[in-house]
Amino acid sequence: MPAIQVEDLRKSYGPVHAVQGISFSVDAGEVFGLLGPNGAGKTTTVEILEGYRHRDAGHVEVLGEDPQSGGRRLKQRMGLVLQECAVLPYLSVSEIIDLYRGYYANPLPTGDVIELVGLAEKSDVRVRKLSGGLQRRLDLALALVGDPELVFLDEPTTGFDPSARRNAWEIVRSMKGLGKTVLLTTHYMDEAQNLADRVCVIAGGRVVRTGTPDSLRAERAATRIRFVRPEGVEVTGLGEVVSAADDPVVEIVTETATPALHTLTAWALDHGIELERLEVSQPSLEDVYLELTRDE
Amino acid sequence: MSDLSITAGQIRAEQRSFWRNPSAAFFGFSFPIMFLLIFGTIFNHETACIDGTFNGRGQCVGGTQTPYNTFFVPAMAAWGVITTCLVNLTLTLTVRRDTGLLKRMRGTPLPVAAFVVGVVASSLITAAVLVVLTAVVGHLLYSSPWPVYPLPAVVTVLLGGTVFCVIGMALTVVIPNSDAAPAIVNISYLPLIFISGFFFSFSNTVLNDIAKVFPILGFKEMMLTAFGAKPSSNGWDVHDLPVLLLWGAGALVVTLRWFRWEARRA
Repeated sequence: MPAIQVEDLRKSYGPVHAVQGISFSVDAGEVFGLLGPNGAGKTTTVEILEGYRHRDAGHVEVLGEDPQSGGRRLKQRMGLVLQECAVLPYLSVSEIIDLYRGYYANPLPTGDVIELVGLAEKSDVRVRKLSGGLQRRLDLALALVGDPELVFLDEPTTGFDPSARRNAWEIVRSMKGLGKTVLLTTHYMDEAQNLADRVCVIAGGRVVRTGTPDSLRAERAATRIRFVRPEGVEVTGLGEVVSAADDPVVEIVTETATPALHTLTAWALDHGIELERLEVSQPSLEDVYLELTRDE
Repeated sequence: MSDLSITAGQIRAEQRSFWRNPSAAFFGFSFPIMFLLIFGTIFNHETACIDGTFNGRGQCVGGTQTPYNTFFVPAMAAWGVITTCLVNLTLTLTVRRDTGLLKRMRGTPLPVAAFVVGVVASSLITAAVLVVLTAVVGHLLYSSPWPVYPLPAVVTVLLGGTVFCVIGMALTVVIPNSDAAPAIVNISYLPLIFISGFFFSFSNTVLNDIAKVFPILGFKEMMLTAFGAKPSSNGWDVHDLPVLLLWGAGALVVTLRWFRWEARRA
């Protein structure tokens, strides 16, 4: 049984059709990335799954229950990290975690949770004294404290510096390691590429593409070959050059990288040129994403 | 954990949050105590004319003449209950609504009732501490008498406190965001404190009639009666109860119908 099942979900706010027939399913134990530009319908979709909003039409199941009627029983099995990190500011880390433990039937030990998110040295510090990044980690801890089967992470690393983001990624990986299903929404394609088993790109309230990050990248198979334009030699006969004639870097796009590279290196050897800063790259998830959502 | 121990945990967390927050603790306590000291110092040994006014010869007309030190302890205690339950609760809830804390809580299995009871019970505890402190300071500095009718005093504080908590929750409905909250709360209740004779009585038909419509005057009267500043046979003031209860019921309806757990989207 999938952890999340969404079929033809629809939701409008007055004249605004935020979600117009979205379908996807998330398997148990999977990290699933929901991607899309602002206003694509991500947040509305997630908030319907979390039980905050009622849908207009369509079928939704979360852990086998309808989130609209699942109530406390369903909330026992879910953990949420919302976009704002909101915790009582005058309680300490361990006091907050103890408080939240009380809400759940089978909570994890306080020490384990604090360890998991790397707040062991801060357990007696009051929340308001924590930096934004550490408060966000506490937020993750509170999502995990009930030992949920399913965790919703809504843009969990927005505003993080690079090392804080790496830390948060480690925490998400350890959630997966614990067998939890994770629904992740994010703006960062490297985050989705690194964490998600599968992603679903939505735009304009509709699903544009669903698949593994690699399968999405493979859709745009063209390889890019770049090198610094050599002096005094005209670049010809190397295939499809996409850079401008006066661009200091030559960029070639090809579907067949092996013969293209062969031609290029043969040409360079013939002319006695060293190809400076030679680079061969595959399209990133970001390139694919930008292409898929360009019209929005 | 049972719902009872969850509720106890909520009350403990709310109490910690209150006492550790310097501005909440300061504004909740400083105003009533500060005015107790100011008016106590100015008017001690004078008399108050409750519900009436002094005429040109210093006689209390249309009201009850009481030593000022007997009048102002229950009056300031009543104000303290209102600042704790109405003002502090309203400001706290609007800040929590804006920061997403209320929304987040709705995503946990915490029962709504346990949350609400935690907030209200914590406010009542704080209010009770403030009432006791007011009575002790009044007794020590100005020889104010102890409350004459302890049971009515306790019941009045708890009942009035609960009603003002519910009014506070209803008030959050018309407050757009936490920036606007202090202004809206203060403009809603401070003028009523003045025209309800919390410091001195006065005679102005229009203002007196306006004050009678609101629960603040009635609550003060109930406190004066329970503390023995106003004559009664047993300390119960049932005359002022209906206005208080009607406001409580109205506020409850508004809260149940329109209370928002999330900030309005910009």
